[in-house]
Amino acid sequence: MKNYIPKIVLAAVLLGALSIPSFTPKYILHLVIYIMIISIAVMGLGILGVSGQISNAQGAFYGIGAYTSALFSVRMGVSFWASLLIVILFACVVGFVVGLPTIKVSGLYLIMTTLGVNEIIYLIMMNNITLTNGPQGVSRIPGPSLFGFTFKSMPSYFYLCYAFLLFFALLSIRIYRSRLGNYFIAVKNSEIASNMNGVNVVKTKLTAFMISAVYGGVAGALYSGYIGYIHPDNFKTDVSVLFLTMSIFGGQRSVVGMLCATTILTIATEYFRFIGEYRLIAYGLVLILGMIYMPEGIGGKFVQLKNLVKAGKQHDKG
Amino acid sequence: MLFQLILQGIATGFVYALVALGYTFVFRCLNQVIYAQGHIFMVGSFMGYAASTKLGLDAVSTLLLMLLAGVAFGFLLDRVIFRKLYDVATMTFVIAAIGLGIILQNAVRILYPEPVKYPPIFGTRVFRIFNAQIAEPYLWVIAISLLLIAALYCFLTFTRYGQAMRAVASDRTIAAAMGINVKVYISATISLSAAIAVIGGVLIGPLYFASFDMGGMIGLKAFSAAVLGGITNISGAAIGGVVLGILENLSAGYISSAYKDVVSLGVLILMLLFRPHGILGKAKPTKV
Amino acid sequence: MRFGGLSALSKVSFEIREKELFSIIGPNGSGKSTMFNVITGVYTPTEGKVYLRGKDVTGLPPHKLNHLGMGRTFQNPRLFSDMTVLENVMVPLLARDKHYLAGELLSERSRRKNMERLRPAAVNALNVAGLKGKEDNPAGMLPYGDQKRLEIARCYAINPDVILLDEPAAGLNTDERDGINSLIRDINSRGVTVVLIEHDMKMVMGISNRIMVLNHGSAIAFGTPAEVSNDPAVIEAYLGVKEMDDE
Repeated sequence: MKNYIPKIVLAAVLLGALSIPSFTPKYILHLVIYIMIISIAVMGLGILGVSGQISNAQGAFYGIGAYTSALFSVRMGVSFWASLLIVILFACVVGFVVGLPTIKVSGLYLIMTTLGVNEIIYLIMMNNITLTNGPQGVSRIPGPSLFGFTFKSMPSYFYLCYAFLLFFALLSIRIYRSRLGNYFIAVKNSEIASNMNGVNVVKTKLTAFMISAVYGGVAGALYSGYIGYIHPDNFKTDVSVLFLTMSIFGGQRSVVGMLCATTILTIATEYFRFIGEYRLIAYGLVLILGMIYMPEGIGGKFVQLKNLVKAGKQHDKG
Repeated sequence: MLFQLILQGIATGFVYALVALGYTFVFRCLNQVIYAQGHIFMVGSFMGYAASTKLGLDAVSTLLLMLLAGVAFGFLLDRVIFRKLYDVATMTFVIAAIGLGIILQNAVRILYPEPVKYPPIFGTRVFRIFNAQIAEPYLWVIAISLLLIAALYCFLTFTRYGQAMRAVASDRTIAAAMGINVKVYISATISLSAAIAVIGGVLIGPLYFASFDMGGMIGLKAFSAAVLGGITNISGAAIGGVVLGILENLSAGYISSAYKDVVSLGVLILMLLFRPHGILGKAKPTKV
Repeated sequence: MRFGGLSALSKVSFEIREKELFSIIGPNGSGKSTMFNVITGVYTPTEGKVYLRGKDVTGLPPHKLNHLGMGRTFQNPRLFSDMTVLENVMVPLLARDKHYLAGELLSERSRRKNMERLRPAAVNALNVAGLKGKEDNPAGMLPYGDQKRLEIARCYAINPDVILLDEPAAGLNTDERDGINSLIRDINSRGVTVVLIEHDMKMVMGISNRIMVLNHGSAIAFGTPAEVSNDPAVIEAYLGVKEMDDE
């Protein structure tokens, strides 16, 4: 019976969350939806992180997803769901193209390379007017609709994002537990040993990259469908840095950790909005302090807690 | 026209070089790159602006004052932040530096939300060299940079302190065994690197302008320069900077100025993919 | 095998017989590790070829060679430190297992079935390597001697045709060395061809069927332990031989 308690708690939380739209004010609901959307992008970085890679370009994939979905629906009347498939395909392709050369580099060099990629994509978004409307952005993006029902109201969009978030969170957990997850960790720990033990390191790293890109792209599509207007400035490197810090703060291996981190950091910046420009300074301070005192992130703290509990239990037994 | 572009490119190139030198110094010492180097540069630019407008100082005094201010600033950063991060994992250091960059950028933004134009401390004369029009500030930048780089070179090669710094950079454990107080020298390296970046900021002010968000791009370009020249190689950083500046300016002049940033990014990506140790660096094969 | 202008190995040609225990020795810098790296696909040789069971495998990436039955350990153990001991050994088994990923992603039951299917081979390898009972220990926390054993277990789990051991006894004390010695003999007796790089002369002379001596990138001697230890070229190049006998 004891084994079922965490599962019951989890079910309660998940079901309880469904009632959020009914009692939260619009302002907070908006924030919750935003958090759910970007959590998907952040989780994508988590998958990348587990394989030992780091990307400062998630904002670009977020943007690619947003623009692809937006442009297809605005210019060609394609439905949100069909354009979602295109987004996934496109994200895979771009993820492959970007990933293929960058798997050779690691650490800081990878950060800088992906940063460069993000900048290049941003410049294309800004300057290639025929493709993306440039600095005017894309407006009047129709939201997704299903069987005639349009997800225009906030509560309905909440449920939509909830479904997506749940799906991608589950997917992440499954991936981490599968053999692909094992390959990721192996590659992160030692590429040379992985190679020598039958793991195709190149394929593994590329797969991680492409999966991460898809997560980013889907999040972007959800974003453009929600806000209805996008502009290249929404997808600058600042956004990539934001996602990256959230994923590292969350401890990459832990889906719950990343969700917590995203929530906490977003709420922090929102809460501090009243102090205006100082809130970003607070964000930077949180980052620095976090790295000095909690380098494994929130997920790391969970693991430590779990180990403490395990040790305690063994102590009781023995 | 070509010569003018090249000369101007050399000037901006030297600015990149100064920031890149900072990267290289710290990298050799700590095996880390201070991601916030560009933002430190930006702060330096504004400090110089404040000094020359509020205090009405001329070029030389501003530069000297900024040198001191830069060292002090770097020392402060080291004391408060970096000292606790000398031995952490790469990613941890990077995120912390990102945090620092965010703080610096937004702190300056509160004080100076709009880009500012420097007073003409470097003069307004325009010289005709061959058939190119070169404004005085460009010549100042080239001269000061050369002076600074030469001074650094002498310091590192001929003084005891400089040699100790190089010892720490090449092998911390052995340097410690030789009785060198490693922590002090790492601290000094970080301060020095910040000071150079600050001077760089002061130099670019009169060439263009100062704005709170220029740190990111400059940091990235200087990093490209460092990688181009070889991040473990000090002269490489300088040469990389100049080459990058020239390349960038030429493509701005002949191709398009909207996409000129793509040049340095492209260089960075290509270098990292094909020759990560840079033009002058030595390839370090992994020992299996 | 050339690196830039330097020839790390020149015209070294040899054949390893099935099920034998073959050692490569030589002073530091003689090219032993380079040889291993060439054989295991880490380097592509600038000249020459590598054959496995008659098949030309030159230039194949290491993971493919592993699938073909070649295993290798490293001088400094390269374990997957974020995993447990058992998980480490499972990796090569998973990597060559033909089941699809999708099944594991969708069904927890299917994942468990796959793991259960592959587990016995992993546990067996750990037992052979003397790591019984330590399956759930974090690999990063193992004492050095056990780390070396785990590396060997990881190679052995896939039932390889040949394993290359790079200085398996390096850094071990006498007892641990004896342990590794018997482990290597045990594995060899189970039909696995073993290629060894070692500096411990006693061990090498004691267990090898044949030895090749490298110096400055060339093979200077080749033969049984008796032949090699009496070869004047070897004694000259590798002055340590005499001293070792005196130990």
